Amino acid sequence: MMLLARYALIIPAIIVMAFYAPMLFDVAFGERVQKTHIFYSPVLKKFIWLDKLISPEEEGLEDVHHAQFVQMDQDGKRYTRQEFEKLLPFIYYRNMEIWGLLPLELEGKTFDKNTIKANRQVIEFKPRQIDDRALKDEVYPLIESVPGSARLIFPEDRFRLGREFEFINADYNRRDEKVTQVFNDALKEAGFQFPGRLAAGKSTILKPFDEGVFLVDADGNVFHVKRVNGKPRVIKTPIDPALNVRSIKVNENRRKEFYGLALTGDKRLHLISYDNYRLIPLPLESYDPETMDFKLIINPLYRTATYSDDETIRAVVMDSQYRPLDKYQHTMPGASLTMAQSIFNSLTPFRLNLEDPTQGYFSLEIDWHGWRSWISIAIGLAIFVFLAYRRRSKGPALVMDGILVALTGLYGLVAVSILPPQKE
Amino acid sequence: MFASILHKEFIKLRAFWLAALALNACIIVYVLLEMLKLFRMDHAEVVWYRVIHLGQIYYEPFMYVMVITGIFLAFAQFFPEMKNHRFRISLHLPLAPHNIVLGHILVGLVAVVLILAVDVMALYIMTGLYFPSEIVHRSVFTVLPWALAGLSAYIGSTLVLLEPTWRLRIFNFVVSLGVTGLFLLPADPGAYAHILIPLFALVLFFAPSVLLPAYRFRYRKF
Repeated sequence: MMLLARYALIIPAIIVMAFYAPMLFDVAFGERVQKTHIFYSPVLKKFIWLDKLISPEEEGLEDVHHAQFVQMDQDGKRYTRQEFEKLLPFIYYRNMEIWGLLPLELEGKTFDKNTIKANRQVIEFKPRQIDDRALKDEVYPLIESVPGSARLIFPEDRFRLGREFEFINADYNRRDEKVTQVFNDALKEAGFQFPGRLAAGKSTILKPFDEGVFLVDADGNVFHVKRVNGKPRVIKTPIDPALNVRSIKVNENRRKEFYGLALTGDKRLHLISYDNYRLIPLPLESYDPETMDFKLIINPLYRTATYSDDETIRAVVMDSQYRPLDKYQHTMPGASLTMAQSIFNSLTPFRLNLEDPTQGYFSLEIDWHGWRSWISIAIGLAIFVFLAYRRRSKGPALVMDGILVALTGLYGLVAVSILPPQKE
Repeated sequence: MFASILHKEFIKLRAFWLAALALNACIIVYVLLEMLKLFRMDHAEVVWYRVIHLGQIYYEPFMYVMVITGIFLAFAQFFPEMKNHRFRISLHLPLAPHNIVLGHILVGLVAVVLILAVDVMALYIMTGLYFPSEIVHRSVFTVLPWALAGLSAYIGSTLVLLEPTWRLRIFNFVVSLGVTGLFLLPADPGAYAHILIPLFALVLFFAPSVLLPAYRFRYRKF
């Protein structure tokens, strides 16, 4: 019983150390991952990026204690902040206006503020936004697409998609039979097979207009459903059910080029175009939706897709037809360990994570520190054996303590040393 | 003898338990009023948007009261026992010391669980009146880790109170704080849903740790 009581304290102590020690380390020595921001400069016709350096380049207190940002292009040329912004006139168009550089001329065309504004769009897609990895709303609004007022308004109901397309009235928190029936009939008429597999829309009224929701039925067919003047408008899209659409992100934009993004079962990302829902595949080599953040930046001349995991950022620039023109790959400074991180990773064998940035739900994950884990374990075991020899320890607790230290390195050593075994 | 210990603890804790229940009842009423206020201030669909899409939590006071309940009942139960080392008398009863200690914390844990269950049930019922079932489940999955924090706070406080030496008392305090903190991390509503079972197992595993200081106290190993 004494043995159980002791481990009932030692093991939680190890868990606490493995969770909080890395967290405190991150607070003291900075985040582990520093993402690079990469762009395609329509001025240079090169990729340029903004990095936060992990190791300061110059001596001096300011450099050590303040973040160092560098702006550079793919040839290694450095730029000042203002030069950098001038190389990205479609992104920093407000500054360009202040500096008196608008309208600007590029590739024989003239761009004023309004042209730039009307032809910009940014859409992001992160692993935690994938339908099966996200913490979902589960009940969604089907916003009136023709609101008859200057701005969109929320309907009095929300729907859930399952065995039917069921509407629940918010005023009474009860199923609205009438609306449910009207929309279910419309869906069935369009050939929707229940139970529905996926519902995706942009559940906010803070958008320029509403494009309704996309639903995927039991057979994998994709339907576009809108509420127009209170009535259903259901379109069965020609998207091939064999593509097995896994997730959809709707992004209403006045450019009206595409409804949003669709992730298919083969891990490819597509745009759902306004041209009869034609899927435009994005040419993303080595893209892994489960681990990579994706961003598409559209300007009047180019479309740039960037996608990155914790170490590498990739970028591909495309023409207006989404044909690749050029691509680039950059290892981010955050990928390499700082001196402090190397030391910490050698002293602790792993970190315990509850939060996984690639999914909405918490999960228990042990993140081992690679070969450096062995250093912590070796140090832990060496000290443990030395102390055991000096104290002439023996008994079952010694073996179990040894196993714990072999598994958890210095975490285990600290716990078993503070709580040495006692005789009953 | 074991039943007598349970009975003794029941009598000892009764008044404190009622006080803790009253405190929790006040919080339940407060949360109910907060929820009703949301619907008084805005259209129902806007409240739904805030709660469902933006993740607004009107029941956050439960987080604090659940932890406070755990700490309060542990102090009510063990603080008087530790005065003048009175607990040593109990530990000399003709029963294995671990049975005596486990009897004590069994009563304490049941007392905490009953109150936390009232909180969870109250939230379940009040949320069910105004929100769809998906949101009711999500709100329960949001408060369950807080309930585990309440249990962990009870076990941790007991661990600190029973420990006779300052060195280990500090260690026990740090571990208890750390374990309890695992259930109170900033999170989107319902984010803990997938790890509730292993976290519950951690709390169960943590419970017998209170035997350790009790042994040290009983046999004066300090």
